[in-house]
Amino acid sequence: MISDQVLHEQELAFFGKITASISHELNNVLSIINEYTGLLNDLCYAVQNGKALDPERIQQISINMAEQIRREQKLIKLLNRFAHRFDAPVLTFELSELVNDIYLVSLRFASMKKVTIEFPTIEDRISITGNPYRIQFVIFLCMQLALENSEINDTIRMNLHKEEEISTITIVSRDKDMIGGQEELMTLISSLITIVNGKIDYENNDEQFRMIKISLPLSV
Amino acid sequence: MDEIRVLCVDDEEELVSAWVERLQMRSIEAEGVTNGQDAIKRVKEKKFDVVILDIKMPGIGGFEIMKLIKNEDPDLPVILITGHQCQDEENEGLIAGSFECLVKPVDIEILVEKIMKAVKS
Repeated sequence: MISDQVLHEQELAFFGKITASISHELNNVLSIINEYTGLLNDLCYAVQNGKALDPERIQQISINMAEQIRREQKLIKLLNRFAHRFDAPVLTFELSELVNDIYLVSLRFASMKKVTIEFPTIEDRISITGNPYRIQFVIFLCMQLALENSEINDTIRMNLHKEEEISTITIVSRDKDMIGGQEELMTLISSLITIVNGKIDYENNDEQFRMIKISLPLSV
Repeated sequence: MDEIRVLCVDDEEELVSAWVERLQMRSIEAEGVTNGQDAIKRVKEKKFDVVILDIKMPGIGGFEIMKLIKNEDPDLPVILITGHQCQDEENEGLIAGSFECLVKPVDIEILVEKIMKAVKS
């Protein structure tokens, strides 16, 4: 079991990592919008200098900008939900939304490694009472473990189920001697799982792939 | 003066398209790609005067892409674009051999100024 100080440091590092990643993506969207506003300005200048106006082009730019603004709004909502999970150590919240958010924040890390993550849309609402920031942290760490074992063009498959009073998150990825090289990460995951009263299993489905199975009680 | 040939590299397709269009409107012969492999392939196929390259690229990453481009053409200036808002990555880029390092969102007039400076250098 890790010490409180190490846990606290790791939680801060997690908070920093996610906020930096989302802010990076927000900046990318702003850069695109910046270029589009500049392009509109350039086109107006061209018209003032005798070039014919192309209304379809203007319309397309406008549609593209609106799409980027929607993308920005989704990112801001994601950041807001992530941050609010630090509001209190015990809350009743939607686990399906939390797991979906971890899927979304993990996409950027996965794309950097050219790995795909699949996570189906969960129709059922799964309400859970527990520690939301530690639960999101441990699921994220399990995803990181899966990513560390993935190679370019691999696919990680994540899913969420509920059975009676237990919810289960599964993450299936390549098995590259996963347990062997990642003792620190595994220790952190193990400590967090204990703190949130959950359970973790590593199952070999076949030689190449391993399933990480996180079981969480729906109430503390 | 011959037209300046610029290759723009960023994984955000719309950003690359906008840069290309705006540079072309400024009489710069620009084209764009959205991944490192295509960038290296294009540099092998055609002589460019400047490469504009995003640091954070999926797969091998901007610094590694720059290294491979420089292996292909050591004199080809690379202007790195970073989303980091702190000085460290800019410094890292300059140390790694970039001609210049700019922070997103980029002002097109500053970008053009840096391109001209790179071509003259």
